Amino acid sequence: MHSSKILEGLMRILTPNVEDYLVSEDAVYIETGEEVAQFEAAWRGTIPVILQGPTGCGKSRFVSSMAKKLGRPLITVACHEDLSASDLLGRHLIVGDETVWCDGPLTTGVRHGAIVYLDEVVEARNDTLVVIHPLTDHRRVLPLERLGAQISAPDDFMLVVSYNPGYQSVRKEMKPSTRQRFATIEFDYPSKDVEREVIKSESGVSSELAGALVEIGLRVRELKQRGLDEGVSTRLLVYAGKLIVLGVEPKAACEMAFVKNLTDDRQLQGAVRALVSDHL
Amino acid sequence: MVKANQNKGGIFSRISRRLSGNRVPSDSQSQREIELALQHLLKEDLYSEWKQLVSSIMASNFSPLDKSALVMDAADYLIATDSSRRSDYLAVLRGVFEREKSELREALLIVYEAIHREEVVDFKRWLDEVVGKANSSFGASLDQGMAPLVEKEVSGQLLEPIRRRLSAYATAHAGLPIEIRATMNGKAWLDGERINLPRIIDCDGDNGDADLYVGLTAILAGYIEFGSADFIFQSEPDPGTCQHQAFYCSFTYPIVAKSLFQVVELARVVIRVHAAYPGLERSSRGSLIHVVNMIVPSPLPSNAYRELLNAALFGHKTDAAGSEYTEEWLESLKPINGPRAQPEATAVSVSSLYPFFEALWIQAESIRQVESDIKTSSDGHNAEVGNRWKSERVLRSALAKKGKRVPLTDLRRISVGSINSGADYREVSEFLERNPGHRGGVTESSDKESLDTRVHLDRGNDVALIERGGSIYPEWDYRIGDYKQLWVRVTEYDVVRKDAQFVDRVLGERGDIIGQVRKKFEALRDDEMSRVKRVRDGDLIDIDAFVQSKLNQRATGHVDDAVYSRLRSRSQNLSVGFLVDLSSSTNEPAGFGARSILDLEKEALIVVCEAIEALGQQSSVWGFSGSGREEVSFYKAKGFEEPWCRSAMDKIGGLSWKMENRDGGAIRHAVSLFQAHKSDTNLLVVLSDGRPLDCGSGEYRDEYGRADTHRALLEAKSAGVNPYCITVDPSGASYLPELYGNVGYTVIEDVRSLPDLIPRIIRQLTR
Repeated sequence: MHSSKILEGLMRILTPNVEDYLVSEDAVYIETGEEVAQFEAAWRGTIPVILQGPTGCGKSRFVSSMAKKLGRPLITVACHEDLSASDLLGRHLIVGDETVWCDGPLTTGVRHGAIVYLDEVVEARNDTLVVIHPLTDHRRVLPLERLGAQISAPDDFMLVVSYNPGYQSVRKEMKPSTRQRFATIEFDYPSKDVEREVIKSESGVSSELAGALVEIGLRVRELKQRGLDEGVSTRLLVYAGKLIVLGVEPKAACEMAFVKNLTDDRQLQGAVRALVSDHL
Repeated sequence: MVKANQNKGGIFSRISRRLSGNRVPSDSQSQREIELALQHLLKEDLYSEWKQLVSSIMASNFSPLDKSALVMDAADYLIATDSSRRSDYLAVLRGVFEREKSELREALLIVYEAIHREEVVDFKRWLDEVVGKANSSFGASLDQGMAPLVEKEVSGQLLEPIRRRLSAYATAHAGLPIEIRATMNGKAWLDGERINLPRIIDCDGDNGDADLYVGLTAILAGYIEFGSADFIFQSEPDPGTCQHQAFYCSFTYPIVAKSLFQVVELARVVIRVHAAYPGLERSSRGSLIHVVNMIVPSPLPSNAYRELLNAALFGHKTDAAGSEYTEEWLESLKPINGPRAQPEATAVSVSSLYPFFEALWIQAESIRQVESDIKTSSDGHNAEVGNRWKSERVLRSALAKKGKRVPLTDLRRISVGSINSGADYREVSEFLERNPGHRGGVTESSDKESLDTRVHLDRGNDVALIERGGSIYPEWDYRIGDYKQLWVRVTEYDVVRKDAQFVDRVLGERGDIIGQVRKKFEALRDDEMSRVKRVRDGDLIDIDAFVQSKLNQRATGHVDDAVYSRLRSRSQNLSVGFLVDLSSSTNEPAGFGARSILDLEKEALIVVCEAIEALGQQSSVWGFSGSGREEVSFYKAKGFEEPWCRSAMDKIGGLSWKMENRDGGAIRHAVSLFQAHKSDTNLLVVLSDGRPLDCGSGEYRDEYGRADTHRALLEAKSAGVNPYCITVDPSGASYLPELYGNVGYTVIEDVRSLPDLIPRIIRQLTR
């Protein structure tokens, strides 16, 4: 799992085996606009990128497919409020009688020219995120103060973060000094035809049922900010398709997949249920 | 369903007489007419009770206009009520008035309908249950009181319990906010962006009745979804004529063409809805006839039109004796059967069917007076909804241009043929009568100097603005790409008027909700404590940090003493300021009910301030209005430093509607108050019912108003104040993104749900 190096003869470094992070499965992503070309251009230009869009619209799937296309390892970090700088950079560990340094995911990514993906970046505290600043400007270096060292990021390295502005609290916003280090690629739910193909291929459901789920999704999304915080995501529609293929009755599958978890408001649940019944 | 006195005419006939006579009688004249009628109709003791009710109304603190309207309406309903029920009717009205005066208007129609329901046999018991309830509004009491009686006597589904669900469902179909209203006559229709549905449906068993509501909603929303409003007949119709009217008038007998169009268009929409929603089609097959019966306009000139509808929907004729059905109808109806048939296809079918139905009409030898009505009227039915809807928008735009002060006699000249049904005319005339409106001077503090100076303002003199005090702000002019300096004067007033009665009612009705909201927000406060790790001083050892420290010491020799953890409140100091639009439009009724938009906003504020106080944070409540750039009035009902207490609630209750809304100046002033208060996180919530609009001096509207408001919001953001807008304007989504950004606002569909939804929004924003 880990390989070791000696950093300038001072200490053994444990760093994860980066081959473990290569994207092996077929990460199917159906392009909806120019996002593939834009991401590739940013990667070649060593520009970090924000993927911005509603939940479940394909951001993470997109990053996987791009990592596979570019032949780079992909290291994903799910950000949360307790994420510390050490969690990203690394920490000292005891191995036998030795004190070794174990690289964190960000350090591993920089060392090996991987794509490092910070998912839901605003969930992390600002004092944690500040560690990425030297990586996201002209310096492209990662200081490791605990080691008294600094790693230069190779040209292959890319930092990608995801951000959903849909329902942010006023307390959780990306600081301008962080946000202005990135280029942004905007995501939205795919078009009807693309979404049908995605649901069909991801779940195995028939084209007709995939089409019905897409139509339901379109209607429910009209209720965004008119009762619902978010419309139903492509991900949830895929869940519904999978449940149907696994033998759950279609309306019950939709109930499980999204009717109950889009809102706690009974009246709105009733409306979404009626929209499901319109098509199934 | 309703068995009523055949002289029901009442309001609608009265207003029709006013219109046709082209003379608006004075209120005193109408009242004399009413008194004479009642003296003639009522027995002495009942007349005496009526006089007592009138005295009570006239002694109340309603405006003179409202008093007059209430008396006239109550008289109309009393006259129309079955003579054997008039005593009961008056008894209920008096009971309602004694308990809660503001409910009387709503009660007039509700009680009238209820009293004629055949299944409400035990009316006395119903009265005791409904009027006796102390803590609910009359409308809610009515439904609650009715429900057990309805369940016991007959099966049926009330609209109210599922109204919000249907509103969301219709919104999802139509792609724009749709309000649902209850009707009393068992019919259903679309009225602009409102779907009117029967208050109760009792056709098909409990679950079937709920499905009927869904079917009705889908079809009525279908008029919007499938383009009924987009019918084009003439590229340049005559001024004052909508496309539908132009089409009807192109035939010799417009009434025939109109009736045909309504029927065929209904069929087209049903076909389109069923094609788009196969699940709905399957589930509603058995009940389609009930649905159609509720929507089809009545009366139709003859049964042949019903047969035509049956042919269009079901492809077959009825077995009625004397049926006029012909096979050629199906051929004529082919255009509307296309999967993407537009309303122009309806016109094609109508043109094909017209000769046959014209012959029927001539045969019946019924040339009706209503022909003249056709040229200037619409009975509001669904096929014309779009043009009438557009007409109403033209009307409202015309009203705005005239500063909303349009004499009633001018109204018909401005209207493009839409204001003809009595209810619409009543709504608009009441709207107009409200608008010459009051300054609401009792709300301001008696700052005589401020008032005096305002009277003597020399408009346009910027030096005078400075000399007279207040806070002076610039205004952004998008046309020159720069600010107009020293342009707007904002004057602060302390709200001194208190409305304890209002607050008592809110606390009574919303007590449960306030308690629940408080609990939820207090729970958030508990979440605000967190354990901070890696500190030099704390109550627990942070094991991770301790281990790391030891490792670092072995590796580097450096000792790190931050090996403890402690609890800390992580809540930042949060201040929430509510800025309430007090323009005259906020006095409009919120849906079907007596309460105004402003009343509901105030209710919501009382609930949410309770919540913020539970969170341990601070809130302010301000209102704004004024007229002209020299007079942006800023009313302070509660400041950040003031405790949340009964006095603050009463002052919120005392906020009353004024005139215009010049949003930019008010926002800038609110930001200055935030800056003086100094908090870590600032949230400015603007409660609005529409676009920025100030028809006073220095006109502020349209792009100019929006641009300045947007600029003020950007300034707020730069100053560390996060703006958010909560609006009850259904068209908010069309302009708020420009002002607040895509995620900086919420459109609340049902104003009545404000007190429930605002705390949820605030909770989301402050987590």
